[in-house]
Amino acid sequence: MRLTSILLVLMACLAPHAGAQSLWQAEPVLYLEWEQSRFDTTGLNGFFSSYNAYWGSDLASPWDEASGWEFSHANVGAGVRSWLSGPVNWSGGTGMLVGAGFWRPESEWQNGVQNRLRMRVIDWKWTAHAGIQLRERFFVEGYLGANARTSRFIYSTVHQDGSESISSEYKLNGVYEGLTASFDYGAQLTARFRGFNTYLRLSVASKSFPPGKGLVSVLDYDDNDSPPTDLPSDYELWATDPVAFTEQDLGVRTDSLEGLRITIGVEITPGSLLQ
Amino acid sequence: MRRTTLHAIALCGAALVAFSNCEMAKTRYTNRLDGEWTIGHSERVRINDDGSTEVFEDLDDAGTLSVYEPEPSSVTLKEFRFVYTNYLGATLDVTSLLAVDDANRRVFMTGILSDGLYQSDLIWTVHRNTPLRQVWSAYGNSEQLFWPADRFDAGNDAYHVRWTITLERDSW
Repeated sequence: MRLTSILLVLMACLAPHAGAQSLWQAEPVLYLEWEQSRFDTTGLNGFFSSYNAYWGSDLASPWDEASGWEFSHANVGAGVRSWLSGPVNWSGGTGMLVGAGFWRPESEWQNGVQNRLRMRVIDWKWTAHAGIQLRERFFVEGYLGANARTSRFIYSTVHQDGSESISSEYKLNGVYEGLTASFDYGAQLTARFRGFNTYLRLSVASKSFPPGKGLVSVLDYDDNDSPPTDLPSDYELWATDPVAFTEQDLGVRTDSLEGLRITIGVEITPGSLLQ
Repeated sequence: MRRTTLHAIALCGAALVAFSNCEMAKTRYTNRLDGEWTIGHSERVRINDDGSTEVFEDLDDAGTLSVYEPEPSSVTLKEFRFVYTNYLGATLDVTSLLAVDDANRRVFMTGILSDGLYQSDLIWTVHRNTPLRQVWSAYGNSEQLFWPADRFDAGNDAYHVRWTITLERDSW
């Protein structure tokens, strides 16, 4: 809420400059973008492949492994873009966006019981970009962003009559959650056309900053049950030697859920839409 | 120009407030559960391999659930007393701590299951969550109801059991 308030005040201060014939101009913008994002599949695919290998022919339909692009999603948001005219024309902007991605892989046992993972990630992001204007319509800008990704994986057992359980009859059943905080850096190219700025951005998530995030595993809530409660990246060790599994800390790590992002988006100037 | 700008700011503000609403703190499910409930309906169903089902318990007024503040008070936990009489006339009367997950998808009756060595939670899957009515299901398999010894191999069970209770609030 505090960030929202700050941004609203900032936009209110900038608004009188919108469209003015001054050296510095700024205008509020709405963002609509598609983010094709890739995550490190090591952890999740480690779970899928070790689970498939452990149960072998008991599974009528094993888990399909992730390609890494499953959490690609749309974002929407609002922000400000500004220009500074001079010998070199500078441009920049900042905004806040939100978006969600979904994926639902399944596997099935020979007796018809299914395992289902309902996976959802929500990205909250602050973006900032600055660079120079080329000719009249193009901007080349560096990009820096802060991203908070909340991941929720609901692991359920679907019985033969179709009823879906996240109760305690099977140990993996549960709601797993994790938070990934990352800083993104990259570059973007923007083209301005009739009040719309269309941009193409390439960015990567930092893997070592903020520090400590690698220690966070995706945790179940069922901490009263016997450990381990992490979603395992090595299912066989988790099932056969939980003590070694815990010592080796082999849960799926949340920082693996971030990676390369290729974003195509448009900045819409609300003023031009309302006229 | 000024009016247009104000419209633009209002539009941006509305968008930002909408985003902020997504961050609002989740309603504490345990507070909703606080109070007296009647187990208005209890149904136990055997789920066969071919997907067919056989109802072997279909009871009205099967017992009560009382949820109240524990001593000492806790933000995340409640104390509960669950009194349930099954179709054979056997009564389960347990008192323990109750918790829910942040997603409001599961209710934990902590530590009420035991195999004689370890204790475990009875975990209910929440199907319906309203102030006046709750519908929860717990699942077991052919080996042992509600805390099977083998909780890994879902392909090895001849049948499963679903126990669904409908809780109705006594007073509002």
